[in-house]
Amino acid sequence: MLICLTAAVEYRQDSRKELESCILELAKGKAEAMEPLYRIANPPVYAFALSLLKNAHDAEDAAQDCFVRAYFGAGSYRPQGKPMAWLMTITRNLCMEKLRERKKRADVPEEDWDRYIESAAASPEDKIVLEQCMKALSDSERQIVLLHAVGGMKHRETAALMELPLATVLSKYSRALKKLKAKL
Amino acid sequence: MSNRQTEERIRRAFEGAAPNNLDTVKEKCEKQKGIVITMESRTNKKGHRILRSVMAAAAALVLAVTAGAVYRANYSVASTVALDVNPSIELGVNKKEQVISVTPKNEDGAKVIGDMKLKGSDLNVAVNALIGSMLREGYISEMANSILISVDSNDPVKGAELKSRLSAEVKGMLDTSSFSGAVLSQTMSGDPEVKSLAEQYGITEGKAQLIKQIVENNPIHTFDELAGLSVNELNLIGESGGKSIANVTAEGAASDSAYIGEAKAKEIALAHAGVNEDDIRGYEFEMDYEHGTMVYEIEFDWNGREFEYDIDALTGEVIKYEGEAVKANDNDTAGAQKNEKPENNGQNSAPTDKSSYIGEAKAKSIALSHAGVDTGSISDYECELDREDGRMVYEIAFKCGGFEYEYEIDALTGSIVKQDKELDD
Repeated sequence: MLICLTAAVEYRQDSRKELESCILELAKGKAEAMEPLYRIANPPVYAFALSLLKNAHDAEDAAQDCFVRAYFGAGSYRPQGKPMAWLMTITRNLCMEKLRERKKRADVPEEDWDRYIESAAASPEDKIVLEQCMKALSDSERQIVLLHAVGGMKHRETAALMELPLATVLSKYSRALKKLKAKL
Repeated sequence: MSNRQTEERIRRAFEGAAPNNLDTVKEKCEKQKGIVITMESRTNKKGHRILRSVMAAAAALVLAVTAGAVYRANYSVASTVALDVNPSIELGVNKKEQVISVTPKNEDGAKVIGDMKLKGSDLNVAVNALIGSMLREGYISEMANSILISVDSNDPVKGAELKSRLSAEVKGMLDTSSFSGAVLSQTMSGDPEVKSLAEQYGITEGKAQLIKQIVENNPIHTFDELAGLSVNELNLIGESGGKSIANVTAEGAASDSAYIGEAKAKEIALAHAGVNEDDIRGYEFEMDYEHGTMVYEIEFDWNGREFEYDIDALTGEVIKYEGEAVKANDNDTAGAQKNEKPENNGQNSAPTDKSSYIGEAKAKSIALSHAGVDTGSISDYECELDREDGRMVYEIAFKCGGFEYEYEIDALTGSIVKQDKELDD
């Protein structure tokens, strides 16, 4: 079990480094770094956007724009070992913009979890996981869980991103995981 | 099912479910690349200086000149010139560069115009009068010397020419006073998004374009957060990190005399950390807008540890810090700090057995005694075992006395790897 734990942590550590070097490559103008960046970061970016916007179509848009912004803004990234936090900040900013636009247009699309889950290219087993994440958790719980489990973000990074005290993030996380474990 | 297994299942499910749009992303990048305006800054290498200078000017003077279709040289608007300091004023000029309309874009702008009759006068005369009024009213001063000039013209060549001419003229006007001015100038790109943002936030299109570019340069910022700042502050932030803003020409340095200055901020951070300037490496500083105020962000490494500070640019108060304060409690548990070895030591001795860890209880007592609090007075205590920089650490968080504490305690040696104390808001 411990080996397993260490392996998981190391995996996160490695992808963190790879992600960081992709961003630095992009900053140097090497556009080919977009591929590995996208491969590593697209699932968590999309998942986080989905959890904020609750609409698959908008989340897809936001995820695309996140990588476009990352491409042009890579020069402003400062290598501090928090590449995912950087991408997630961009994602959050984009989603906030979208939410403001929606509000202005009074156009609030319904939560389309069911449609999303149905259309997702996932095994029946995975669909159950998706469904429970979407339906059993509160908004902030879902965001915290996805940032950590899919994005490999540390709780302290999540706390900084969501402007919540670390203690709140930790307790919400453990509550959320308990709920999920009971359902799965 | 363990937490890790649950996380793993979630990760797998979402990994498979994310749509792959890499090609669309690439296309969008290519498309946008085509319309990115090339950089045009004379002060590329002096990014920080410009930044400071620009930031200091608390007011943005937007002089907008719009060039429309010209059917009669005298009466149709050929260009719009916007001046932004804090007062914002838009001037419509005809083909002969005579002012045909004067529009205040905010209350301060109306005040600056007062009862001056500028219609019919030459553009440079009008600009001169407006700058003079802003100086008299104190909108442009030693503390806030920045001005943004935005020129909008249907004829891009003419627009660019007008922009650089105005920029030089305004710079000249400001330099004759007791301080020198900082002039930012740009031509408008006609981006419909800029127009709608300007309307939404009630700012000039010039300012909206400037903010949009700052956000594009550094996507960590949001339009919403920056819209309320002065052109001066915007410039400072925009130039932070040494990258100049595309399409904006900067001349002269914004005054930072409204702030404590980088040197003072550095001194405060070093004193707080209890370290000597000679011993630090990798020093970096940036001005930023955080916690609702302008801050100096100071970073440096000392003895293999990273320190980060946010110092209030106006008051010099330490708003936030991360890293281990060397001078902090000397009654530290077990002289943990002295035992601390260079970073990669922990890596060689990767634990194979959890029994070699000090245990959560011990880690907690190290953190509490370092913070100088007892276990009865804390709340929201949390602890997590994690791997950081190649070593296993206990991440400990708790609240006490209106502060939020965070610690990372080396799981093998019990030394304090990282410490953070923040006001609990």
